[in-house]
Amino acid sequence: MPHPDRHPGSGRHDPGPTAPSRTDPAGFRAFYDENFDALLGFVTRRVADPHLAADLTADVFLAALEAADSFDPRRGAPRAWLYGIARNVLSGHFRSNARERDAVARLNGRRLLDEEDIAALEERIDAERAARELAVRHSALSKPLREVVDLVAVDGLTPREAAAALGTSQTTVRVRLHRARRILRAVPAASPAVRRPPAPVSTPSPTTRRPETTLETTL
Amino acid sequence: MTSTLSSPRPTGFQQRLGDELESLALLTSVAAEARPAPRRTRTVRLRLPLAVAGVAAGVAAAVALPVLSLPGHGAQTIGSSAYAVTKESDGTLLLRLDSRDGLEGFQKALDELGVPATALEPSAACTEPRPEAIPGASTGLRGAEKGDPPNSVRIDPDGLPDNGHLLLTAGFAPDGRMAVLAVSVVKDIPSCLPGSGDIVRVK
Repeated sequence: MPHPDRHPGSGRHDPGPTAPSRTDPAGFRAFYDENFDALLGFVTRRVADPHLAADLTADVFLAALEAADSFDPRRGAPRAWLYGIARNVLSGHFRSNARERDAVARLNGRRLLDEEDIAALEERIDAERAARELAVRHSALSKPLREVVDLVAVDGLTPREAAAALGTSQTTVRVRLHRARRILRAVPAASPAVRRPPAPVSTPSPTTRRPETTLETTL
Repeated sequence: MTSTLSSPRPTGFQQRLGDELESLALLTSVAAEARPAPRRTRTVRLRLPLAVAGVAAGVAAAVALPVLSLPGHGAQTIGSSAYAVTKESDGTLLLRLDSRDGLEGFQKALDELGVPATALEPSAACTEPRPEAIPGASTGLRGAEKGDPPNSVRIDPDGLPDNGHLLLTAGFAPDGRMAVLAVSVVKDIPSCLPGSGDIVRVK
């Protein structure tokens, strides 16, 4: 079962991913092109609105450009670093109120959408519905456990990549995955104890369903 | 699990976003080159709309620079490392001129943004008489706002008379850096300014 960020077009089989650069426009563009699809998947597995998805995608890459000097290849791959930034941007969005969001200038990614883009995003969001529902199920977990499980089970990162994205050790990631597995085994599939707003009610299609064995086999 | 090979892509969005980010990266790269030892520790904050307006951009006058447009804020900026002309959404102008090297580009930017202004450096070779200022005409000069970069002035052109034209007299230090920028309103646009010692510092 292919991971969302390991399809042949992602550059994963290339000699090496491009590191982000704040002062090399062509280099940053290469980094952007290599990671756009993966980042879009990350976002659409968490939001269901195409315009918001465009805004957040733009905001993440803008934040990546600002923080490019902080990338350290010794800590992990560029994509893991980008996912760490994406986590922060999306967390900030969900945490802040409307006035705070409006007060901070962004790229307003939605203005760059045309009709075809919106249709494509809607299809992508629909395809990621199962992942969003899986993430809702993880809301029974504490934040540290949920963060790890989302990156591994929802986004398909390896524990090493998840550790890089979270800025923690692989040991910590594995311990948290183990704890999460024990808790989720005890949680009914339709748990009423959700911390996040529920995803739209739908039945995952067989082609998009993510079996719980994703979490199991990763360990 | 979803295969991203078959996942639909918003290709237009991807291209346009990539273009904007690449433009911002270009601004950042030139800002970093132009200011190797910044006196201020403030980092270029790409997230702040005024910071985008004030950031140095471009590498040479020969390079076609993008006009950064942030529809959400309405400001337009054309600039380089030596100058920037920003037209805010409310029509006010933020003008920055750092050095003699930027004077030509500065004028082109004013023209491109439709600003009725002429920027000239006084010259001893100029034999034209200095144009007379329109008495009582407001230059629309406004005080600097928080976050405005050095060597910049804010102008509100709404107060200009119909037959008025902004004359920006630029005085530079011997090393080419900006010394003074005088703003006046004239009726006749000069082709040159006679060199004189009567440039009044307005900022």
